[in-house]
Amino acid sequence: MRQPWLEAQPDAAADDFSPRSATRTAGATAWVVGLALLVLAAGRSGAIVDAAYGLPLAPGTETLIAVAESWDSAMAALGIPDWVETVTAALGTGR
Amino acid sequence: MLFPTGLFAIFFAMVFAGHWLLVRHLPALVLPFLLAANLVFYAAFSLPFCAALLGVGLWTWAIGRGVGQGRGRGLLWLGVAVVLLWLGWFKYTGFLLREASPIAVALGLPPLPVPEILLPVGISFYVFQAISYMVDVHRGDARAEGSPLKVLVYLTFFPHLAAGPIVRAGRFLPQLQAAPDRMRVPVVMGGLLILGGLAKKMLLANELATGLVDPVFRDPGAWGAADILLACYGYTIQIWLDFSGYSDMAIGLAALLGYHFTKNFDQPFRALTLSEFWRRWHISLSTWLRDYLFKPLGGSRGSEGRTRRNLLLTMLLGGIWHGAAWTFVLWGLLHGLALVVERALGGRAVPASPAGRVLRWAITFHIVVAAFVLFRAPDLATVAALAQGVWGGAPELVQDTAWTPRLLAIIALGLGLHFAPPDLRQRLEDALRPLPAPLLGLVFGLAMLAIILAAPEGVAPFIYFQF
Repeated sequence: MRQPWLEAQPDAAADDFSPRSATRTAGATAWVVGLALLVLAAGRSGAIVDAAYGLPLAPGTETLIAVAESWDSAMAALGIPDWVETVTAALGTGR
Repeated sequence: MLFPTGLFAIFFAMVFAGHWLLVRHLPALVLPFLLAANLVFYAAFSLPFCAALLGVGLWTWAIGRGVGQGRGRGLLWLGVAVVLLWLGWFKYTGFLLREASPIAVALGLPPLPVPEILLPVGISFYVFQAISYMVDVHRGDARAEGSPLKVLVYLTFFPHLAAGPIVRAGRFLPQLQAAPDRMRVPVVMGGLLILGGLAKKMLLANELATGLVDPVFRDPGAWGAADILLACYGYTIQIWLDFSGYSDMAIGLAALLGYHFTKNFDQPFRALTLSEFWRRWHISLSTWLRDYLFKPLGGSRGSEGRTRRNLLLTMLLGGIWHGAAWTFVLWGLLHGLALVVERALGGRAVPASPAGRVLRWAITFHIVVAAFVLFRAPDLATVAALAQGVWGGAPELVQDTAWTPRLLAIIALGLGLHFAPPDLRQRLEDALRPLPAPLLGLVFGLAMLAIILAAPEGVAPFIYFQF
């Protein structure tokens, strides 16, 4: 049996896993992970461009920078950086 | 490659996709792929130490194979001694030479040269796991692997490689016998653990460190008694947030790949006794020390005197495992002595009255806080300065920057997270369970983004990376 820790273990020690843990297929999990990372990439498009500028010179670096800049421009066209700036300022209150 | 970074997010996305594609189409390649991913992860810290890690892994496998073929205790001792010497060279050589140098000078000898030795990331953790494999094979709790691949994947698995939890061979290796079932991924639980860990580290622990704890421990003389006390309590909360946050992320990441690590923290500050604290704090280390050190020393099977000696020795060595400094020695010794005193006073029994329970909780908690001062202080002079600041320093606040409403809110939030109902995560999981996968992804993504935006700039290393 695979993933036996998801089965009932009456006298087991405290564990994060339990028979109540909802499971999904790897395909559905890929949707969750992929979309979560997409949201992160959208909100951090400026940081991605900065990171791309910091890459060492190598074959492909120019392409990566161009992709990062295009992504950032697309996010800017949607107004996401402005939204991110507003949220950042609100969440940083009192610092 | 720290967990809460963009580079790690890209790395994990590639490993996640590659792993599950191989599980579906080429399951025979899952373990070679995982090993390659683990080595890429470790090479991001240091390429030469990556080769050394492989060497330790191959040694561990070879010893396990020999022990499994019935070559017995002598080979086991050799295997354990070599990996402990490996750990000792990196971790304790500098300390021992520094401490021995004044003695050499007093004897009329020249000062001893103290080499600068870089500590490989995660060495304390993978050495303990290597010992776990060799001993488990000897005890019959784990199977001696015929090929080194599974042992190498076990030792180098990236979610636990840099700072634990210490995963037992007997529990993890059976998970590698067959590829995980791709129809059963606990994604909601894994996602909540990663989110919770990220919030604990990025939002709370980092801000407590930079806003309160680090400035006070850097220069205790510049602060008043109240500031110092707040920083001591603050560090106790910070280290729980930092380390349990890392452990949560490690458990969650492994879960998304279909693997299981046991719980590493179980609301430790709820403990009414010190022995209960050690059943709730860094559980993978405390159970390792119990099973591979305390019990082989004789445990509590002999006389009361021998049990106390075993307790003291185990906690002392547990302290030394954390680092080569007198502060860690004293931290372990303090815990050992407190456990011995607790045992002698019959203190492991929980009082019946509410007042007695509150008193017992307060005593236990303050022993833990006092010990963590030793754990955090860079040297004994800082400990003395902190003590002087509390008992002999100005009672009023010398500086008021430690008491910002935001920091107090963070301490309250940290305590709230710790003392939340034990089934809170399960209830959140139940609430998120009906969401379709794309919506769940959006919820997790927005929550992660909010945590990153609210956190201070940069990512401070996890406290346990230094061990």
